[in-house]
Amino acid sequence: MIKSTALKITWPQLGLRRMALAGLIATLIGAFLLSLALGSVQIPLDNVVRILLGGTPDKATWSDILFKFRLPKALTAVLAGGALAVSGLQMQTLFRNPLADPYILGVSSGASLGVALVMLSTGAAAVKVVGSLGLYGDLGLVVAASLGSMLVLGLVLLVAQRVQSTLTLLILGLMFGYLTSALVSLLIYFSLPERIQLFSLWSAGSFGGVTWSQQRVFTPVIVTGLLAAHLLPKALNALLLGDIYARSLGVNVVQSRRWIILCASLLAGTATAFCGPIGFLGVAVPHLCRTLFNTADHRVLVPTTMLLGATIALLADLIAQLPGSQTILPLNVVTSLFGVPVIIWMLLRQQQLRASFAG
Amino acid sequence: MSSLLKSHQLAIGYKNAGRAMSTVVDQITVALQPGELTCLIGPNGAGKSTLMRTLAGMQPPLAGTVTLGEQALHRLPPAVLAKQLAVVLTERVEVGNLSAYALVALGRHPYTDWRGRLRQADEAVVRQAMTTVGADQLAARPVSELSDGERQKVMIARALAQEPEVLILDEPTAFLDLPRRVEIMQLLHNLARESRRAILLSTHDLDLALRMADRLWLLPTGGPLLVGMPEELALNGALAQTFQSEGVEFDAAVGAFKIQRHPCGPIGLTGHGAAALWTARALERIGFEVITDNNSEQLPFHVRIAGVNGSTRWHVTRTSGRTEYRSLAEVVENLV
Repeated sequence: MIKSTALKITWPQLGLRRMALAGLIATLIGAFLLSLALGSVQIPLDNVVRILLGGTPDKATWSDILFKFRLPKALTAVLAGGALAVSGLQMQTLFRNPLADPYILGVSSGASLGVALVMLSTGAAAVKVVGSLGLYGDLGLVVAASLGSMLVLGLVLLVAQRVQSTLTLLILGLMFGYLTSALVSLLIYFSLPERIQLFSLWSAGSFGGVTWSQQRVFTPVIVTGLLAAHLLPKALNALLLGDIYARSLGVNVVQSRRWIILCASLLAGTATAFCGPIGFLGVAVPHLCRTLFNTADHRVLVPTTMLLGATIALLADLIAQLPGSQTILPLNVVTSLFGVPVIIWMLLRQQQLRASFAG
Repeated sequence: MSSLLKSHQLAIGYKNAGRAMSTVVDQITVALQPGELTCLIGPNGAGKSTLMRTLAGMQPPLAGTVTLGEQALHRLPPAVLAKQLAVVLTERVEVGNLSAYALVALGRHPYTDWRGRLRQADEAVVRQAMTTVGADQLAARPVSELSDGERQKVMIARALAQEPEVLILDEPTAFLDLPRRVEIMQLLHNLARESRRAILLSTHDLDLALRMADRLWLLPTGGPLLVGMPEELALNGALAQTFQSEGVEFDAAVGAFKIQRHPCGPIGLTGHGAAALWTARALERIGFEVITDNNSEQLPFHVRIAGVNGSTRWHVTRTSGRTEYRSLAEVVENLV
């Protein structure tokens, strides 16, 4: 008997397409150069390239502007944007929740608590302790924020070892977050107005605060985290099917979960410590990638989310500068203005959020 | 015939937070044979899912052992187990805009490198799995757009992509309409036979299980687990008893679906009563067309049932001669 083989089967292609990757890298390079060129002072693109290649620009000050301000800031935006987006992707898959973000386990509230403790502590004894630890100044903030997020991360990891249910873990993370937020509110309530302003400045988020000397810590940590993230797509793909299926595929779920949380928290914690809590990049970028590449395969999503996150962070920062003017908008305002419409648009357009996750 | 998966004196249930154990069923000694479709049926709450999970290595036994091949199942590393045993669960997976092909490809997880990259050989297995279940036309479709029946086929293909020797399915027909249920059961029946896999599934579909299963595991509330050929369990009353206690009457005469497939050709049957009815069913199941008219004695194969209930004898005539059997199981084993 001849079976009907008239219908030709087209097997879809798996994995990342080279053209898509090349396109994303080209866009990222474009955005990077643009963010070097635009600002309160415009530097022509040919001059930007010339300075980067070691040549002399038309105006001597341009070289200074580029190296002292714009280059470190653009590098920070690239790394922090990529870190937050990848971290958000990992959290969304781990918790099977479309609104999960890098901060879902309380990493940013932990950082806020650290910063608030340093900035808002007013008692003489507290000032003495904080001062003797060298926690004032830029690097002090970073140390405080890192300690805060590490504290929360440590608690979450400790709990993750014992808790089997991912949902329980999610709720515990939220509870940690609320608790630290409450402590921050308490600190704000009892502190001086000028200190509060300093704290709210940090809360507004900025890529501009990371100096070259801080880059020596920031860059290696974020790069390590991003490289580690590229080791995890296989486990994330298995977790798409849920914990039980993942286990039946030979995945050690508890151990994979620990590595994913560690990686995501390292990325989000470091980015937050250096740049402040930056909203919506971590939620919106992974969804944008799922739509653009029409897939849920993390072998595609991890690299594309990283590249797109970096690009969008650069563009958001560019918009916050309001090129040609002296005004600078808070970064979080811009990322919210970008992130909220993206999520609403996707919700309405193809109900992707609902389709992507169990309801 | 050596069994693939077997349990010895197995007790299933839960270890509570304290030290107390709540045993659901114990003294389970069963085996899954290659090439056989085994159906687990029983009322809700009897422990079907617990038994399936324990046999699949997802839950530790309270006592006794489960062996897969020669090894203790619960001591196998998950990555090794995943290459020998695959599961299909009742819960509906939501994987968003993953294509059916990409979903089936996830079944290659135990075989791929750290990046999860599929080699050509892996993709060939994935394609073969989809063709086997008749889902190759669905390859490019997003899983979220598939119907329940299509989705179930894709999930079975995903399990097949693991190239398991044992396949365990928890209520694979639960959300399907009747024709799809028959289709899936038929698919699993053929799959067991043709690929020499051992397939265990739980179902509430008594009628389909009776027609399709090579072996039936009956789990009444509180146990013990009864094992046998479906027709034998019907004949010896175990089936009626299991469901009688649940207030459900088992109507042996009802058959909603007549399954037509006779690759083994015609066979004559002479006899009366329940024994004849269930013998006919058994013969149809293994692929004979049962003829009961006057000329049936002239056919190359013929079965004559003699005796009364309790001491039934089956006289099987074929070209090589005539043999007498004391049980229906013997008849079927010697005719297959």
